[in-house]
Amino acid sequence: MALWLYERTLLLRRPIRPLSAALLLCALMLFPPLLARQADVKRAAVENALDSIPVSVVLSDIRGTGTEDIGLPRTIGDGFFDDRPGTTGEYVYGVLAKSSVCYSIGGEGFTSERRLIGLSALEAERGFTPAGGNRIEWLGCEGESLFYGSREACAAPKELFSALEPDPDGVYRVRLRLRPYPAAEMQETQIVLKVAGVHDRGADVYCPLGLIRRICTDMAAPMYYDSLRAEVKSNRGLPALKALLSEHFAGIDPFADPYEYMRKGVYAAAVIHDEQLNQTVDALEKDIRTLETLKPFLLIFECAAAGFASFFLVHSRRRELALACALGVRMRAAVIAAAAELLILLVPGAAVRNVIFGFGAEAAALGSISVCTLSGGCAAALAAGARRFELLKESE
Amino acid sequence: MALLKAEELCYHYRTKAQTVRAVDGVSLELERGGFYALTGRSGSGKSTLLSLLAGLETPMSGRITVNGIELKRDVLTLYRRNTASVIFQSFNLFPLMTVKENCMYPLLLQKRSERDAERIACGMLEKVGLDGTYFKRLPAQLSGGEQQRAAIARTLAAGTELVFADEPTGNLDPKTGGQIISLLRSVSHDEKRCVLVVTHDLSIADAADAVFRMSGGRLEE
Repeated sequence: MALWLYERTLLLRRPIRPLSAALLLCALMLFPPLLARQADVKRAAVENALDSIPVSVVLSDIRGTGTEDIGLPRTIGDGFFDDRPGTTGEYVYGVLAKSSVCYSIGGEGFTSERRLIGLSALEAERGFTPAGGNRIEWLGCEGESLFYGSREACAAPKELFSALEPDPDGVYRVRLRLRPYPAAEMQETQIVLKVAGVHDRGADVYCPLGLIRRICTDMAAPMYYDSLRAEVKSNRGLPALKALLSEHFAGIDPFADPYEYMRKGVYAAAVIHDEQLNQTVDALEKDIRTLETLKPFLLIFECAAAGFASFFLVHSRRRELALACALGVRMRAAVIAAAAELLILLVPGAAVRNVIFGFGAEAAALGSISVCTLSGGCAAALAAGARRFELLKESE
Repeated sequence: MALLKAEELCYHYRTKAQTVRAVDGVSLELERGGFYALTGRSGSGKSTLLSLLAGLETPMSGRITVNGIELKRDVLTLYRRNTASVIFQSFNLFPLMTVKENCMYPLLLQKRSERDAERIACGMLEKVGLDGTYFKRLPAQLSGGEQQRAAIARTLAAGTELVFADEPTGNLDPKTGGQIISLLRSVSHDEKRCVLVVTHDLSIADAADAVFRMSGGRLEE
C-alpha cells in the first residue's frame, strides 16, 4: 500500500511528466494504424481508379505488316462485337466500328472517293456527327437508329439525293453497284437502299455496319474494318484484353520485342489509352510501397522511443525507487508498481486508438510498443534497485 | 547475546585495474542500547560495511546474525523493513511526499493502518522537534537540519532495533550536527535501540559508547 501511496502522490503532485509520457505513448500508438489507414486509403483509391478511369482501345488507320493487306480482318474486328467468354468483346463495350465498300451509280466507274460506309453507330465517324460539323436531315423516324442492325437503308449525300425521284409509296430509294474496297475485278453486286437521311459531307453513303458484313458475305469477299474504337468494360480485365490483343497486335506489351510483329505477322496499330489509369495507379502504388517500406522502420523507431521514454521516466525516479527498496519494498513489488504505472499511461493511448481506428487495428504494433514501454520501465526499475546503495549515497 | 553479530565479512568489487577489497574479514558485535561510531579515513570501507550490516548489500563471504538468526538473501527485504533502518548523509526523503507522509511510509510498509501510521508518525515528528506546522511541508521547503530530523523521525517511527547512520551530519553545520548526534544518542539509550554512526567527525566518536576504526577494509584492534 505504501508503494501505491507514493505512485499516487507522484501522479497527483507532479503530473507533467506522466502526462507528457502518456501523450507521447498515445502519439506513438496512433502512428501505426494511421499509416495502415493511409495505405488503405491509397488502396481504395487504386480500386476507385480501376473502377472510374475510362480506358479506350483504338484501332485506326490499320495497315498490315508490309504486305498488301489493308484494314483489320473481319475475324478480328468481329471479336469486339462478340461478348462471349474468350473474345475481345467480353472486355469492351460501346464499340464504334467502320467498314466500307466502293459504290457506283448507273454506268459510272468505281472510285475510292465514293464509298458505302458501314457504321456501328453515328459516332463511329466523328466527322459525320453533328458535333463534327455535319448536318443530317432525317427523312423518316429512324434517325441514328438507322445504324443499328443490318437494314437496307442509308444516309445519302445531298448531291446524290437531289437526283432521286420518290417511289409511288413516297420513299426514296437508290440502287448502288458495289465492289469490295479495295476493289477486286470479279467481285461486284447490286443493292437497293432506302434513303433514310440526307447529309452534306462528301459523296459517301452511310449505312449500318451489319449491311456491309452481309454484302461482303454475299460477294464472298473479305471484309476489313477501317477503324474500330471501344471502351474497356472493366479495367480489371485489362490484362486479359491486352493478352488477347497481343496475339494480333504488337506494341501492346511495352516490354515485348519491338520487332516481334515482323516475325509473328501481327498488326501494329492498336492503341490502348490507359495512360491516365497507369499514371494514377502507378503513383498510388508507389505511395503504398513507400508506406509499406517505412512501416517496419517506423515501428522500430516507435518501440525504441517508447522504451526510452519509459526508461527515462522511471530512471528519473531512481533515487526514490532505491529508497523504497532500502526501506523494505521488495524489488519485485517496485518493478510491478513501475509496470502498473506504465500500463496506466498506456491506457489512454490505447483507448483513443481503439476509438478512432477500431479494436484490433494494428494490434501487433500496439503490443510491440506496449512491451517495449514496459520493458524500458522495468529495466530502469531493476537498475535502480540494483544500485540502490550507490544512488542513496549520491548527493541530491 | 549480542543483537547483531558479524563474522569475517568480506566484500570486494572489481575495477578495470584491480580488485578492491572494501571489507576484508571484519567481525564485530553490536549490543542493544549501544551507541557506536565507525570511523576511518575515506576509502577505508566504512560505508560498505554499513551497507552490509544494514542489509543493503550481500557480503561475498562471512555471515551476519541478528537476534541469533542468520541474515540470508531471502530475508533481507523483511530485515530492512522491520529490523534495520538507515539514515543517510543526503537525507533521502521522498521529494513529492510531505514530511508526515515520509514518516508514515515505513509504517505502511509494515502493514499498519493508515490511522495508526499517521498517529505514530506525527508523534515521532514532534519528538524530533518538528511540530504540526511542518507536517504538510515538502522536503524542499525544509532546511538541511529539518530534513535530517524528518529522516530520523522516519527511522524512529519504523521502530527498528537497529539504526545505521551514514555520515548523518555531513551536510549540516556543527551546531545542528551536534543536535542530531544528541538525538541519536538519546534514541539508543532511551529506546534501547542499537545505533551505529559512520563518521569522520572525532567529536561524534567521542560521544559514542564504543568506536570501531577501519583501515584498508579491516577493523583496527
